[in-house]
Amino acid sequence: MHGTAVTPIIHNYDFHGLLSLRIRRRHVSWADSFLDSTFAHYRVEPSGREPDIDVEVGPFRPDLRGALRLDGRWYVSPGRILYKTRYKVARWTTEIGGLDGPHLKVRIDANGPARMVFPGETIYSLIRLRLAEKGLLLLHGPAVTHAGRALVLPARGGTGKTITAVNFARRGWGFMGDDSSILAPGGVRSFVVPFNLRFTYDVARLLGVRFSPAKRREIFLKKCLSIATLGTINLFSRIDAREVFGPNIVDEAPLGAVYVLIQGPRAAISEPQPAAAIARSVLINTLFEADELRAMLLAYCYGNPESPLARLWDDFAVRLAERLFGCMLRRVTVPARYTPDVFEMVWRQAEEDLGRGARP
Amino acid sequence: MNALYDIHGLRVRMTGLADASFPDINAKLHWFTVPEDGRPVDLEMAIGRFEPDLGSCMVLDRRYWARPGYLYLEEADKGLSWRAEIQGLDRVPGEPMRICFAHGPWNRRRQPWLLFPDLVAHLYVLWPVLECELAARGMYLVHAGGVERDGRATLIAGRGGVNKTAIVADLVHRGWQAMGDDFVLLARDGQAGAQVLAFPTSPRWFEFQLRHMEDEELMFVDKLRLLRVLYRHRKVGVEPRATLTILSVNPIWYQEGA
Repeated sequence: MHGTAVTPIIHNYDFHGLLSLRIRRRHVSWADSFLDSTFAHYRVEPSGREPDIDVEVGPFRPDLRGALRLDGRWYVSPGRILYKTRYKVARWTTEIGGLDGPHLKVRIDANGPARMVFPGETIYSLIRLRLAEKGLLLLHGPAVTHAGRALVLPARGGTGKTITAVNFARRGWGFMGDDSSILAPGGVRSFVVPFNLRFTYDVARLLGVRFSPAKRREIFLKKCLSIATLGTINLFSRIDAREVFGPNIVDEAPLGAVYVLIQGPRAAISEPQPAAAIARSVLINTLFEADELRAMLLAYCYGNPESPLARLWDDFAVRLAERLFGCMLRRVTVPARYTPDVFEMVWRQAEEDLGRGARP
Repeated sequence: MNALYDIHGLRVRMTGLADASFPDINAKLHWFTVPEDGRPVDLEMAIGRFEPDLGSCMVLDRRYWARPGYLYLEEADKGLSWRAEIQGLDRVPGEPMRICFAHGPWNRRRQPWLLFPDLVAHLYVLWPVLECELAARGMYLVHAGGVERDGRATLIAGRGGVNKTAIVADLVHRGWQAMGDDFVLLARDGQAGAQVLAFPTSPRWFEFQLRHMEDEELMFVDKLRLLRVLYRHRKVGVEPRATLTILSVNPIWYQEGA
């Protein structure tokens, strides 16, 4: 165990009043700053109500009595699942209880490196799961707003999601998060988490900001490390989106358009597409991203086939198609080299699509 | 090495298989081998170097290249690496589906794969495609062991490691007929509901289990014994379709394993 045992540190988060999350941890180490900064935009004072997701981080003794063992990795019993995850040197054990009730009770035992990984994996999975059960869809794609309506840009990693969203925000559009956004019945809700940027970009120039000397030094050191190890160690740099786009952040807007970004041979924008086709692309993109949740649900529903969770993705697909209906839906092909004129093309089309809809 | 398989009517040709010491262990579909007759096939798989044609492809995660009816992928797992291309995914009647597969430089030399030099090609590329092709013909590949007695089939489904093979072996000892210890095919019979079709994937392995082992745990002595048995029967090998017969029986009685 790293750090020293102290009184637990408790952070409460609330996502637009739709979902509440409490994270308690019993240790202090530098790796935990990662966990604390991830959802900082949604941090609130404790409300006294029981949160939707209650996470306890720290070592625990798992209780495996009466649990089915699947593939030597998953331990499943009604309403409960326990599993171990590995990613490179990161190792963590997750126990999720209350899967058949309204409040998830989660315990996570993570080693040092894992504390930088599980917030983006396990906690995301829990949020995605709880939101989906409430009929709210966490899409893997940034959202920006113009003329009071939102444009969502689902894409696989590396296609140019972040660059596109950042460029929109730098032209004065509203910013709702560079990684994910929540599709609720009334429209899109923000999901603002820190930027995770690698050094293939000149970070400061991309974001159009001047960093503090300390931050500049940190980025310079990481860049040197990456070059010295020939790219083997390629640390992400986390930059708080609120510091960069604070005034631009919009938390809620009705959905106006969805552009699915795909990497292809040349830049092109398709004609408006039917809702069913775009819904399928968006669903597949989300499933690609939700590895851990998908595997966890498969294991849980194998042991508990009667659980409503077995139909989660079917319901997700139906709701998604319903909510995309009546919006401007397009496919945008982005070349491997993302040049300013690619953004110019997307921007012109988006301006037209969202602006046109805003007129009476 | 080339091979032609006839899986209950689905014809598959494989070319470029490694010259393995035990071809029936290397090729998972060995049991379905039929003599080459020059007639067209439904699925062709060529193992060996190839040049993909990636013009006008969409790129996903820098690993998949796709355009209508075509997929090219580059993958790596546990020190193994491979690339493959699949043509004819959007089925055109009469046109065979074509798979090209190329091993990474170390695959066929790595320790655990000595007995199965082409395991990667089978497991990660051929298998999913085969599953789709069989499903398109109304035959569903089910992850379950199958046994038959008195014209009725019993499936034993379960995750890996729940001793499916041992249960099937036990039942065979008690006079049941094996249809497959890991997979069977579920098909629809026009007249009388479901049918179970045999799909033995590694008969020689199953035979070893049947003769020499009581459970599935492969201890060090078992491994030595396996090598001895393999060496002794080196020249004989398992004749295709010799140890098991195709059974089409109905109706099925389905039973979930532990």
